[in-house]
Amino acid sequence: MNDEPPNARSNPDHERTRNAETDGGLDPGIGRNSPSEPEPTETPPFGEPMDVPPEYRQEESVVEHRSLRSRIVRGLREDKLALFGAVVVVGFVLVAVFAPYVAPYDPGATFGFMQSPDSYSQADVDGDGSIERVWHPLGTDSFGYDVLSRIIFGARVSLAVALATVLVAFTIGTAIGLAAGFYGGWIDSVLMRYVDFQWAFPEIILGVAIIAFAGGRGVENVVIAIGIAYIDDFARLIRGEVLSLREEEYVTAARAIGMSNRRIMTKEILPNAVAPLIVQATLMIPLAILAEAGLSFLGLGVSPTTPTWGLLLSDGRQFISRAWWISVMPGIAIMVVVLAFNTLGDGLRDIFDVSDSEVEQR
Amino acid sequence: MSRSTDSAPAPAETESTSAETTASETDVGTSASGEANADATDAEAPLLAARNISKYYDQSEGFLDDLIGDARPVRAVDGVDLEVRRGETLAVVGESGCGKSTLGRTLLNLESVTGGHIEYRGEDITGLSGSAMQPYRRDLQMVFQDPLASLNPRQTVGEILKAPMEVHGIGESDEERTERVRELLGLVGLKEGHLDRYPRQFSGGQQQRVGVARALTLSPELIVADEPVSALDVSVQAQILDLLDDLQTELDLALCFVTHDLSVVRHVADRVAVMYLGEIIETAPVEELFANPRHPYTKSLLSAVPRIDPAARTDRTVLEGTVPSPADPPSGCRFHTRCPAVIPPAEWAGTQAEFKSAFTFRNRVLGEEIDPEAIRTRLSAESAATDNDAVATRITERFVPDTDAQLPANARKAIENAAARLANGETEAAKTTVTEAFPSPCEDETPRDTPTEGGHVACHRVDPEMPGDPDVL
Ligand code: SF4
Repeated sequence: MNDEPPNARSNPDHERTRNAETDGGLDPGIGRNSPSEPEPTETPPFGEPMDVPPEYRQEESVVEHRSLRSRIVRGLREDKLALFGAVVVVGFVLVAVFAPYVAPYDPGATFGFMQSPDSYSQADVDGDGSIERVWHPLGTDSFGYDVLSRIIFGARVSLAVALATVLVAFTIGTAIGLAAGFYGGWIDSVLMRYVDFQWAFPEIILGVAIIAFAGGRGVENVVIAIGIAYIDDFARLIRGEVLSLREEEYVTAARAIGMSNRRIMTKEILPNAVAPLIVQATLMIPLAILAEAGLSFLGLGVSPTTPTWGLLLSDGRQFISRAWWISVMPGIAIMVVVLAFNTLGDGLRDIFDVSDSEVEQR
Repeated sequence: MSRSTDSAPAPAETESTSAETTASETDVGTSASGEANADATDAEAPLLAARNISKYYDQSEGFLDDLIGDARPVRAVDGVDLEVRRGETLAVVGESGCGKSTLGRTLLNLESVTGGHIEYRGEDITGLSGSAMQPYRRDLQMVFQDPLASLNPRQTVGEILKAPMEVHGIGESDEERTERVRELLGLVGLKEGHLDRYPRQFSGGQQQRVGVARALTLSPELIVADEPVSALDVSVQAQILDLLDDLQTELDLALCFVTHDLSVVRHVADRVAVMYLGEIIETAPVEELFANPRHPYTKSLLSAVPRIDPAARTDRTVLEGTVPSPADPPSGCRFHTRCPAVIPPAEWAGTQAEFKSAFTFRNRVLGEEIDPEAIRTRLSAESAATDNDAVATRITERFVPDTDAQLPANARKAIENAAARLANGETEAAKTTVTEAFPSPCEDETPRDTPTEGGHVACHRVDPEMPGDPDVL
C-alpha cells in the first residue's frame, strides 16, 4: 500500500510488517485457544509475514552483541594495518608521557650547532663536571639543541594540545548537534546556521582570528582556537545521528515512561551514537596536530620556546639548505603519527561499520 | 476478561514464577490520581476518552510542495470518539495503515493531536508537554509492536526496567529498585539472572516480556498495547497474549489493544472498535461483534476468518479493490469504494449483486485502473482485432462479465458506453458516464453513528432514517 507518504516519517502506522492488501490485510486466524499446540505452519495462518522469527534473533544476538571494547579488540586483530596504526599511536603516546626517561638529553641542553645526524659532540650532560662524548642520532639544530630530544618533548605538547583540542570540539560540537537534531525547528535552524557559517571558514584562518581575538598565543588559546574551528564537524555528525536515532522506538518508549528530554538525549540517544564519534575523534586528532603545527609555523603556536613539532619545523626552515634535518626530522614525526591515526581511524570505521557519509573526512 | 480461560496461566519459555504468587507485591505504588479521584470507581465512567480526535500528517516538505499542490495532509486519524473503561480490554482492529497505531499513540500524547480532546479521568490532557504530562505517564503506559526496537540496545534489562522508577522518583535506593525489578521479572515470567543481559540476548517473546515488565513498572491504570504480538513467532504469540490477559486480571488493568488480527481480538477483548481509513466504523462488545456484526466492513472481515466447523461457514465476502489513500479519502462513507453492500439508487431495477458489479466497474474507471492500451496490446498478441470496438468489448467482458450479473439493460448500455469511451482514450468522458449512471447515496452523505447493542455503527443501512435494508449481507 502506498498511501503512506515517504516523508511522513513519524507516522507509526507505517508498520514494519508488510501489508497484505489483497485479502484486505486483516488476518483470518483460527481461534487459538491451545497455546501449547501451535498450528503446524508451513505458511503462517496470519497473513502478514512474521517479522523476524526468534531463532534468527538468537543467532543475531551472538554476533551482534559485543561490547564496544571487545569489538575494537577483535576488529584490530583482523585488520593488520589498523593494528599497526594503533601500535604506533600507543608508542607515540607512551614516548610523550615518559619523555624525561626516554629522551637522551634535556631539551634545553645545548651542544654544537647544526651537527648532522649520527654525529658526536663533547658535553657535560649529567652535570658532574666531566666532559663526555655524546651521540646525536638526529643531529642538533641551530641553537645546538639535540633534535631527537626536542622531538620527543615536542610530542608531549603536540599530542596533548591535539587531544585537548578534539575534546573541546567534541564537547561543544556534541552539545550543539544533540540539541539541533533533537529539538529541530528554530533551535536547529539557529545552531546549524552557525555551524554552516563556521564551516565556510578555513580552520587555520579561523584559528588565527580566534588567537588574535583571545589576545595572543598560549596553550589555552591554541586549544580553544583549534577546538572551536572543529566544532562543526562534530555538530554535523551528531545531528545526523540524532535525526535518525530520535525516530527509534526506544526513544518513544522513553517518552512513554515520562523521561525528560535531557535524559533521553544523554542516556538513550548519545550512547548509541558513540561509535561514529570515536571514529570521528580518531580522524580529527591528526588534523588537530597539523593545525597546531600550522599555527606554530605561522608564529602563533603555544610559545616561542616550548618545543612543539610545528615550532621545530618552523625553526629549521631558514636553514633548510644547510641543515635539512632540523625541519625534516620533526616533519617525519608529524607524518608518521598522522598516518598512524588515520589508519587507526579508518580501521575503526570499518569495525564499527560506520558509513563514509556519517563521518566526513577532510 | 470475558474469554473463558482454558489453559494454565502462561507457561513461559522459562519456568516462571506463576503470576499469582507475586501479583500482590506489585501494588507497591498506587497511583496518585487514583486516590485523588476515589469516587470514580463506576465501571461505566471512562478512564481514558478520546473526543473527536484527529491526527493529520503534513505531506509537504515546504513551500515548494504547497505551490505544486500535493500538500494534502494524510488523515491518519479523523474524528475518532473512543472510551476505555476501567479494567476492560478494548481492541482497536483495522488494516495496516488505517491509523490504529497512530490512534494508540495520540491517546497517550506521544503524538500531538490535530484536533479534538483526550481526557483521562475527566481531566483534559490534550497536548500536555513533557513535564505537565509526566504525572499521567505513571498511569498510562504502552507496549510496543517490535519489542527489540523498543528496547535500547545499549542498556541491560535491569537498566531499562529501573529507568521508569528513577524518572518518577520511586524507590529510595538503587537496591530497592533492583529488588522491584526482580519482582517484575518474575511477574512476566523471566528470571532474575536476566537482569544483566542485553535485549539482543533474548528471544522475541522474552523481549516482549521485558516490554510488558517495563509498562508495569509504574503500576499503571491503562496500557496501550500496539500490535504486541504481530512481530513475534506464531508459537510465542499465544503465550504473550495469555501473559497480558493474566496480568490484566490480576492487576485490574485497562488494556487498549491495537491489532490487525481478528483471532487475537477474540482471544483478549471485551469490546471491539473497528477502524477503517482513520474512522471508527463500528464498536460492540466482542461476543456481539462476532455473533452479529452490523457494519458491512466488519462482516467482510469476519467472513474471512475461517470457521472450524465447515457447516457454520458462510459464503466468504472477499473485499475488492485497494484501500484508498488516507490523504484523499472517498466522499460520504469512506468504505463505499469497496463495500459489498453499497446502496443502489432508488431507481435501480436489478439486484444488490448486480449493482455491486456495476459499481465496482465504476470505481475502476474512476480510479483509472483500466488501461485500454494494455488491452489492445493483449489483443494483438492474441492476433485478434485491435480496433476501438474490440477493445471496448474486451473491457466489458473482462470487467463486467455477463455470467456475473445480468445487468438491467440501461446499466449494461451505460457500461458499454463507458468502455467505448475508454477505448477511444476519452477517460474523463468515461468517468462522467459511470458517475451519472451509477450513483449511490453512500457516496453523498457521511453515515451517522447509529446506536446498537452495546455500541454503535456508522453505516447508512443500519441507520433507520436512510435507505437500504440492513440485512442485505
Ligand atoms: S454506508 Fe453504504 S458504503 Fe458505507 S458501509 Fe454502509 S452500505 Fe456500505
